[in-house]
Amino acid sequence: MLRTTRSTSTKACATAIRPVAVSLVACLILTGVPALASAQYVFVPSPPPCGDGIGLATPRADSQPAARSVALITFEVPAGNAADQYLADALPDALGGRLSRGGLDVLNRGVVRVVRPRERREIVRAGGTLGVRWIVTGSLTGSADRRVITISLLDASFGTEVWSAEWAASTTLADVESASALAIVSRIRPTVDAATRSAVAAPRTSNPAAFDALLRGIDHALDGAPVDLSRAIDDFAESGRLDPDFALPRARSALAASDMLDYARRVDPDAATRLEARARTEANAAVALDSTLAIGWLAVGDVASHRADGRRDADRAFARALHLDPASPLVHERRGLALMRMGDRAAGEAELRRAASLAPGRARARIELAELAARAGRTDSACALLNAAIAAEPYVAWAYVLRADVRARMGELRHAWSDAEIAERLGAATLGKAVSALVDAAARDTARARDRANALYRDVTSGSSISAREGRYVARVLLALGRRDDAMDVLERVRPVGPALAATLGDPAFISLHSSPRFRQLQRAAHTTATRGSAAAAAGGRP
Amino acid sequence: MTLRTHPIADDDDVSAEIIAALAAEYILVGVLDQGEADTTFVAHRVGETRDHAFAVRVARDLPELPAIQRFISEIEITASLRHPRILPVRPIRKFGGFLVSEARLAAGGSLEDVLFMSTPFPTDRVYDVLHEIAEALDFAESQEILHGALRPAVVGLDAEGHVTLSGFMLRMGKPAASQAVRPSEVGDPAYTSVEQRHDERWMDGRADQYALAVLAWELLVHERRARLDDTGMLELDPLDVSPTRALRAELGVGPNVAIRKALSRDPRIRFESSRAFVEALNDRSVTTPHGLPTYHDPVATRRASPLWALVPLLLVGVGLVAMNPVPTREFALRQWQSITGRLDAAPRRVVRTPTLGFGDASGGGSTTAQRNAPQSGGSSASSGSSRGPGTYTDPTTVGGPPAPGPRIDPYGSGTTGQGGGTSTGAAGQAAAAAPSQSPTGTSIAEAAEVNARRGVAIVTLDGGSAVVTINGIPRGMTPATISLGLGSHVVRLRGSRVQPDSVVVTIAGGDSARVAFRVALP
Repeated sequence: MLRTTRSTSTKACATAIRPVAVSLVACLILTGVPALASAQYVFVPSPPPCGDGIGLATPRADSQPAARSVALITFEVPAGNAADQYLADALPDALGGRLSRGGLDVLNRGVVRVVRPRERREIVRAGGTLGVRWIVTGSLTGSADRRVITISLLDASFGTEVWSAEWAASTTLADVESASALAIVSRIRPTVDAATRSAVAAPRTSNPAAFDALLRGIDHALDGAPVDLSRAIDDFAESGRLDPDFALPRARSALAASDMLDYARRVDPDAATRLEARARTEANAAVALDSTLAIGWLAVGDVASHRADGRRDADRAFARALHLDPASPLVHERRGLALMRMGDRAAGEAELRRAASLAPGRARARIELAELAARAGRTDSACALLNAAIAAEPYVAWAYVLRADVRARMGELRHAWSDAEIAERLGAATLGKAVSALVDAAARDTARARDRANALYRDVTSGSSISAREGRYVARVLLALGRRDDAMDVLERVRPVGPALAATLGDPAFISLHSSPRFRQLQRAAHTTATRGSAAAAAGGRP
Repeated sequence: MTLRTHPIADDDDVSAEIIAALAAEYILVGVLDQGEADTTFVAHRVGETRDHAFAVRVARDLPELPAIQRFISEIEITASLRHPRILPVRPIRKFGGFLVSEARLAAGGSLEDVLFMSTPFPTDRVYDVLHEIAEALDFAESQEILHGALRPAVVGLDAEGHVTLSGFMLRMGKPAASQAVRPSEVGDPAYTSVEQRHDERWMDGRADQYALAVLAWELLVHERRARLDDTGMLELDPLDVSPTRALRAELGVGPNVAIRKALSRDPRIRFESSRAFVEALNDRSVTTPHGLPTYHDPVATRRASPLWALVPLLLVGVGLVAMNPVPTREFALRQWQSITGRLDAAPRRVVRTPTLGFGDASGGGSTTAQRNAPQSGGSSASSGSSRGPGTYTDPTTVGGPPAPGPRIDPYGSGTTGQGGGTSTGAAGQAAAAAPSQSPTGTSIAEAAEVNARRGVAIVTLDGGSAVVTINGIPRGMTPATISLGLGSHVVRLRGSRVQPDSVVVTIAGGDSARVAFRVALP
């Protein structure tokens, strides 16, 4: 009876509760799910770790610029005046060297490629963006034979022009450079001593044509691609021929030839040997002509670093260059690259960090550091470095390739794909396509990745050779699609077989190939070449 | 107003060649403008004083190049017009390897030069200029010629400030395929109407009226519609023509009403003529805004439908889809890539063919209309010529009575019916090899025909980038994919030490030729 009563009351209770519970659950479902769905739009997720868009934002300096900090920006040359276009970058770049000698803190030690500010607030904003107190601008008017060069010094604190001068066509470029440098140094440092003044105004060469050829070479070398370096070397040679006592073009020529060596070794090993010997001769001639020229010793060290047995010579020459110019970002940057080339990665990275801190507007050191960070799996710092590098120099294709790779790893597929496309459009066709295929594979679009990989494989195997960077990315694509043998075919086409290939084979992406006899054989060949050194080159160009 | 000219480059081989070729008749003073295929020089005749200056346009005598064809077509069309407000142009003459056209120098520069000076154009002056342009456009339309590329740069001003219009590009009523240039290729994006962008055959003077309306807006507002963004891409700002806010303080909303009408997407809504538009623009009597929203009292609400109960379910569904963002992003990426992939794979100049009601598409293919494909069914089988009007042939009616009624091909083949030319050459063969019609209505045969007349050169430089010249004409930077006509072409890289120095490529229809250069080591 009791059981019956309890049962009845339980049933009654359940009967009473059931509609309420059902309503409650239904209500929760109907309100909770949409609420959760809309919550993700309310709580906006943080922006992607590698930045939004293509990252062309210009960095801003937070602190007060130093009183002697100065930036030289690209001079204006009318578009119709093709003959004088080379002066737009080359003249301020050369002027930067003199200003440094006068004790000024020159941003990047060379030209900064930005648009000339005109109005007062633009000048102030440009100073804030570049982090400098002073800005040197210039313009050329008239045709090549009747040109007038105007150079101005702007005070970025107030947005005013504090000095300006015009030179007619009768004044040589060398005179324009020295006279304007002296005037600018005197304006920024009114109490500068006589010795510094004479150092700033000292003529580089007595031959105006030699100085003109030097400026042409500087302009070509600034672009940095092998085709430009080839022309730069010719221009420097012309400058040296016109004035055999002029040390600077010889040092610059050696540096340009050194930059071109990897390319030369890939396309024509015999010509590369000759080029290396020539670079060594030029570098030694430069320091023989002027032993106080830091860039001369830098060239000696840089060329020596290409020899496997050149570590000692390179260290000595770099130490000399740093002794002469301890705050030069160029010396630190090239020393860092040379150390990495010679296998001392830790020391190289430290030097590159020093270079990056000395010159916030130089991209090369940052890109190299980013590559190291990406290889070590530090994607966040790789991203930050690449963003800064692209902001400083937005036309370096290799930076976009690296960032696309990093972004693909971080899952930012859309941005990665756009970076890959930019890289391709900037001229890195193979690298751009390869990294696009990697992004496709990361997006699980294997059909498109396979199409791209097929085209790449066809292109690579139909050509003669590829660089280590290209080989690395194309092989990674093929490996991601399970084509191990094809990946090995690509890696075997990398030239030169040396330190760069050895470093490429050390990429963790190729771990799955380590068991392959072909891979081990290639690894052995690369390490042997890297350690054996090029005896012929060493013997060819010693003074 | 002083003309802005650039000096002639001393170290340029092409300039030296032109100076030498024209030396018997002209002394070139400076470069006024650089076009796609031609250069405009300021020149005076040998033996005359420098006061009598001319604008001399010079292009290479390479009529097989599309850019040169456009140049020739423009000069021929403009030279055929005689009107006080249209720039008189002398027909083309040949000097050595160059085509030369002479015209009077617009002493006051062009509207481009004066339009965006620091102070806005005075309102009365704006109306004068627009009125004169409209006169010229209406006259050209009466001669069955359209401008097609109206923009400030082609509106010259003489010494008294009167308009001299130049650069007429299109003949009315001619199908896009038979014009030397397609309407969509000539128009400046900022000034091009919808029908011109779509190469509509029925395009008339109202397309120029649209461009004139954009120009009027720019003059009155003192702003450019098009600008380059930070990355160098062209951006078009929407035309802000509010129905209530006057474009200039001293004007009413009359100009707004006129401009809105002239900018209508549908040409039938626009004014009858350009002149009518300018008169409406100048109509100060319009003071009330048009198109203001009308307020209505709310209607008594009915009882909610029981279907509203489905709304929460829909919300749940949307929520579930939205809560999984990763597949959505991948989906977007795939969509993006599939679109760009399709664009890459598309033929360069596809002429769309409408799917007309010819034959019976459901008849298993045997009755599907074929176009421009040679038939093997005897002499009575008709086919289209590779360039001329196409002919539709229904295989089921070959040898029988003609298909009922004429058919209009609005994309450029004229009236079609039975009979017609015969297919010859590579174009015809390509058309024969192609299937008759794609499922989307695109005539693959016609696309193949167009492709058969062109090829592609892919030019690369291992070790940098350089300017590619084809037959001496710059065509872009490496790596470049360049569309070329049939025949041999000399490919060089300008100003660089490369190997080989030059390459001669011979292009056959639909070919892709690869030209690879590498840096010559010092």
